[in-house]
Amino acid sequence: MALLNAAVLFYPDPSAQLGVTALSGLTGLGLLVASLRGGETKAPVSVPAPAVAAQEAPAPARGEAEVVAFLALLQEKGRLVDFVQEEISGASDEQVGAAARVIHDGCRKVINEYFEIAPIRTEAEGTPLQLGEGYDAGAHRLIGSVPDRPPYRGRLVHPGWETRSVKLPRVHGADAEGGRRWPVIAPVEVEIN
Amino acid sequence: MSTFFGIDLGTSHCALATANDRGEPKLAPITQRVTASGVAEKDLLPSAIYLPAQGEQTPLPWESERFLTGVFARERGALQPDRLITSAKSWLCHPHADPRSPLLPWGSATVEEKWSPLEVTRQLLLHALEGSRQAQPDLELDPKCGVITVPASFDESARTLTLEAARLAGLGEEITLLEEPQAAFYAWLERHGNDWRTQVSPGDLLLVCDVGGGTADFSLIAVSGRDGSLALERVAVGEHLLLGGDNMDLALAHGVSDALAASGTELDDWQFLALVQAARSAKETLLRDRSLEEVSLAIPTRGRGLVASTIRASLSREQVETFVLEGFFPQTAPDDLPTLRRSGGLREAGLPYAPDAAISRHLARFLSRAHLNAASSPQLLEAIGGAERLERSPLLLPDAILFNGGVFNAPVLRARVMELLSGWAGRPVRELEGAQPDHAVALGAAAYARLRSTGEGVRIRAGTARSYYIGMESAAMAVPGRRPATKALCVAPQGMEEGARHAIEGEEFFLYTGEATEFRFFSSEVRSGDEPGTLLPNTAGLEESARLETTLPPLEGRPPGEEVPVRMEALVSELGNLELYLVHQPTGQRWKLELNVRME
Repeated sequence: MALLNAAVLFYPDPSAQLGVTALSGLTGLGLLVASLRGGETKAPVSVPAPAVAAQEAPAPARGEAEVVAFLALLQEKGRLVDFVQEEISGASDEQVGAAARVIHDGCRKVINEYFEIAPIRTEAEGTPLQLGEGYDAGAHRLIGSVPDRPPYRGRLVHPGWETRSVKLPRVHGADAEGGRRWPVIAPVEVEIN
Repeated sequence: MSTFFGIDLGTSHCALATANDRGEPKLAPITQRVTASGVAEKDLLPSAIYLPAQGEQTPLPWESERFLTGVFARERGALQPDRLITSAKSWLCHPHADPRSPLLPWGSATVEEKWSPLEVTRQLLLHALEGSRQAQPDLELDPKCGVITVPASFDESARTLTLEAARLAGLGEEITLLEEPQAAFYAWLERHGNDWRTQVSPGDLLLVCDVGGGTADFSLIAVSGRDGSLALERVAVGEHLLLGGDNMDLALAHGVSDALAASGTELDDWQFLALVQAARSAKETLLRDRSLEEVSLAIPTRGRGLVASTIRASLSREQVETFVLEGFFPQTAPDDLPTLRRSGGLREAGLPYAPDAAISRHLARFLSRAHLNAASSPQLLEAIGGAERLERSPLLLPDAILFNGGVFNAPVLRARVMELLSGWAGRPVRELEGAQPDHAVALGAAAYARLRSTGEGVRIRAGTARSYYIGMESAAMAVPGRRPATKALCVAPQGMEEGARHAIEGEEFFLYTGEATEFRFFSSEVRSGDEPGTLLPNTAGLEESARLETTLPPLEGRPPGEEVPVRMEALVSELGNLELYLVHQPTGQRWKLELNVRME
């Protein structure tokens, strides 16, 4: 299934619960965006022998193509890649703010369309919390001085997010598009006169 | 278990809903192209077809090379209006265009092969069906259990064309049509179960006010008490009105763009489209949240620099109220009727968009025509509870309103319409609670498909929404330079129900066979009192709904060019479409006249 493939790419433990892997799909996107910023050193392609022709490279996992297609949606609707690739240190907060509206509006629409996102805990931030034996360790991150075993007493810092459904677009015909390994994130635009 | 289904074949979107043996209608997702290479399931399928340039897109396994559908088609085509087909549905009822000829994309100079509105409709139906089967491979759709919705304002030839498109899409001969406002009402009935009886009472007149993206459609439904149970009858339908929520977004975007231009910032086409989107969501936010005074808009440029060149603008509450409330829903007087013609002498060909944006005035016109219609027929007078209602006002005013269409998600717009009608009526007009403005038409169609098959539940008595007339050359002495006046003979009265048949008794007409003859058809939604055989001295006040030039084969064994005495018969098929026959009684030979041809 597409959502599992997409998520497993970035999650260390493929046997984890569905809900958690789906959530990690989102984290994965964050990682991918970060690696794009980092430049070519972190590019996910690693072909040891330079003599190997491009078409002989192993076909990319469909999951990769689907994550790139999703990134393309965030770019198309929310201009996310344009934003992270742009140098903004010289821009005023007002300019960045205006751009943030475009990103917020677009990315929010895309994310709400393909995920059903909800907080994991409904308590307000700052609420005292007790975690007993058998708490969902995959969905909680304990910070501070943590004893060896539960029960744990603490304070809710972040109520977490999870997704209750994932409906990522499935990618078709990726190999047919000019022999590319992945779909393009944003096509070249040419205005014809 | 049979699956009942309804297809909302909308001007801007299509949707398909299914119902089971207990009803419980729900939307069926439709698999479609959402990005250049991505496919996903969506509840709505845009009623758009994009014609790609050669080699522009790689077709997916089930697609043709010639065209694309789905969300992607609409978005890709937004910047390529020459290659995008939208609003094909409105071309089906265009008064002066032939929906079978390749017209679309209208005005395109770049597309070599154009499409007919009929073919577009067929492809949209095919995609809705195929897409929902892709999403639910075990979904079995039997056309006998299916319903397609059409605007109440569709005349017989637009209805026949819709049925023909359905037939060409493989839906066979058995699929049924349902008027959209009625479908919205069935969705409301279904949602309330038996509870709906607590919201209406005998003697009530209900207005279904449906304002979608591109069209507005009105109907009146009367509630009467019969044998201790409630009965429903549709008593009036409106005219086809190309006016809707998209006009509002466009008006707001033009307002913002003018303000930007005044301060020296010009927007290109792409930015204007982005602005329309931004204005739409800002409008929805401001109409929903009364505490906000202003919403900021950001309009990106097409190039890579997002931070460096995003244009800032804002939309204020005052602007939204001026443009939307006062522009589209002004508080007008009941005798303030819409401007029907533009001030210019010539109108560009293309779709006949409503020249007056004020939905209030169109509503007044609809209610005054409904008044006229009710006054013309004793049966309708009884349905609306007697003449007393007509004496109160020159408008036939409702007691309650059911809202439909995305525009009415905004409480402030619903409140405005109720305020307007209450003002006209001099007494409070209620809102029927629990409307589902976005999906009611498809859901109601699926619910109706079940009612129709099982015979359970309450059904709205409707029948044909219009009366139909055939043009007759009058028998008059020849006068040079004058064509004899065309009289109009009523062949099918308003309110003919499925399976009904009328013959025009006692009169014979002469038919020319074996040579090209022209037939003209007219209709009216305000002459419910006319009976089959009623002869009107001229066609004033009627709408010409079809013109047919045809050569009817001569009687067997008789020479062509002979005048044949015939009798006329009209019948409404089990599927709800009107058929006209000319019968030569001595031999029993019949000619069927197709009402589905429209010519300039």
